[in-house]
Amino acid sequence: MPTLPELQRDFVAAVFDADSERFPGEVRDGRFGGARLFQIYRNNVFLSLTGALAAVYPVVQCLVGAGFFDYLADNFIRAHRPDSGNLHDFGGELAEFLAGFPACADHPYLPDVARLEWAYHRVFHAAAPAFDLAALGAVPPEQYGALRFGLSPGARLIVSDYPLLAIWRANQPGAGDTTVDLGAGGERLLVFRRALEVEFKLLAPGEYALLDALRDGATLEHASERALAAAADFDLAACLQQQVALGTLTNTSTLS
Amino acid sequence: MKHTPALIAGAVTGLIALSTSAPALAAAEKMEKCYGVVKAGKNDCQTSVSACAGSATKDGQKDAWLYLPKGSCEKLVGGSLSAAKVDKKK
Amino acid sequence: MSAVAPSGARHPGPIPACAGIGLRAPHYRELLADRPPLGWLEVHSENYFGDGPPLDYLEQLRAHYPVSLHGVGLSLGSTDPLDRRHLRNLKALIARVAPGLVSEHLSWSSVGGTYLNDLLPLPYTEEALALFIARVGEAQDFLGRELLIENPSSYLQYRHSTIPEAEFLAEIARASGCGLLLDVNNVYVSAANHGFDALRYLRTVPAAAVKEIHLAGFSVNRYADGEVLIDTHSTRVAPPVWALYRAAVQRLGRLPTLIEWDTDIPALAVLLDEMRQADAVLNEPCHADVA
Repeated sequence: MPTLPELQRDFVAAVFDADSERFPGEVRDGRFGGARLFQIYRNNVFLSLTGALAAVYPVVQCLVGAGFFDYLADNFIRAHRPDSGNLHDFGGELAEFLAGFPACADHPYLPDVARLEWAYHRVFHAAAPAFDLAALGAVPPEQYGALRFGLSPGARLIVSDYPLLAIWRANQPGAGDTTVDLGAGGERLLVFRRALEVEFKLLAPGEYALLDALRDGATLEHASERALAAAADFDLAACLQQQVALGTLTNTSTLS
Repeated sequence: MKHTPALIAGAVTGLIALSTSAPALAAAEKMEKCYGVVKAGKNDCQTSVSACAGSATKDGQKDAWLYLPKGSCEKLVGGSLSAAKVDKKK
Repeated sequence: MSAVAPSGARHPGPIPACAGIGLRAPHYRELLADRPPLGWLEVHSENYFGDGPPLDYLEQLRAHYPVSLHGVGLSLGSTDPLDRRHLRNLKALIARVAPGLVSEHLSWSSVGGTYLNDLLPLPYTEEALALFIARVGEAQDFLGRELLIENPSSYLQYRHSTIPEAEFLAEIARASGCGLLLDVNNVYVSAANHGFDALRYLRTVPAAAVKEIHLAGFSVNRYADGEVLIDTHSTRVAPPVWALYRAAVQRLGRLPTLIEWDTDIPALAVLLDEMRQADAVLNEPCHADVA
């Protein structure tokens, strides 16, 4: 008779290995043999995890087709077993997995599409704290350059060599038969949430450089220098005002 | 290169000015068209969810013909392997 | 959406002894717009651990209805240490929503850090009983409140189980001080799959510990040589489950009763119709005041 830890390890091993001889042996034969009864649990696990992936990655699923997506999901689940009791945490490695999945080698845009959908998913469930303008007013002007704004948990940056936004739109329900020119050029995207809606904004090189640096913890001075290096005509005042209005910046730990 | 501290002083002063003017902030927020904001659609119900239910569906098919992507990726045309590179460090 | 708990008014009070429905995303807007009379709402706790639109909708609806939290991911029957992050998330959600009841399952879902996100059956042994009692106690101490533990649907039994499930649950309630959530559909599904007497199960469950009832629909996996019932929450409550529910109400008295529906979610009107059928069984309708 196995101990409880042994039984649980055997159960999980048998979910991922259909040839596992040991586990069904721990199941009492009822009207049906243990192997068939155990298969119900194996099926439940894979179907519910595949369903969770499809809910997060509907555009990837649309692009590759439902049949292939199930095959992809089966491979992904085996390579990246869930490590949280909260299903919303599952599936973040799909972009990386797609990049190394041989059957998708002719579709090199898929990892970026997956990155966009994961960003959307995380932004949807993230808090969106307000930017504290009053606290900013208390900062002495000589310290402005040392300010550290952060990117809100409700905002994420994506950069791609492909026209991601057009791909995303062409694969929404009711999008019709539009085609997308993959050679149309890449883009920098901000994915963010206001109130109950997730929104996208195409970023110019200077805007992207500023937000990328702020997200990585740079001071306002260093981030501004990065933005000006990316675009000499970068308008810092307009960009900060826009981003604060869109709620994508935080200043909860403002001073270094 | 422009004088960065002066740009920063002007930009932060501009932000602080927003705080004394709620209408200015509201006006800034309404400028989404100018900002190039794209709504993702009415999406507040689409999310993965935990449930305490099982799944009755039959075991997944493993037909070999499914082993290549076969979906709307046919809509994507043009230089997939020669897309213009975005300089990620800029 | 703010980081600070809202100070808005909440519907007061505990979960009333009448029927309620599971709150699911497709019905958020309709419920807020129409605010139909219904006893109470229940949600799966994990779907509100984030701080986005789902929690916003839940807090808006909480102003008008009592709410209970039903967890699916705590993995109380696991031999891994209890997940403190999960418990902290649950405690924060409890503080934010002020639920009338908080429940989890007699099951496990993780081992060695791998989660299967399913409600897996425990062997009913003295070893598993001691572990489960200790873990319920630990969770209740951390959360500072009573948990209800729900009987699962199961599709297999272990060779070395020695304790009938209803007695296992009774001992958990006695030793840990937790309450029980009796899922009548689960009793029916498991009784059919394993060939035990559902009415005898109802008689064995300690009546004083049961504080909530669940009702849901099941599906049937058909094989050439027989069938297995699967707890899919994808259809209306089946007639024999309604009959078993009547027997449960006769024995246990009027209890908060939930209509659960998770797959192929129907129009809100269908859920409300199921809810009214449960209320009819509970004898006289009892609806929370809609503020």
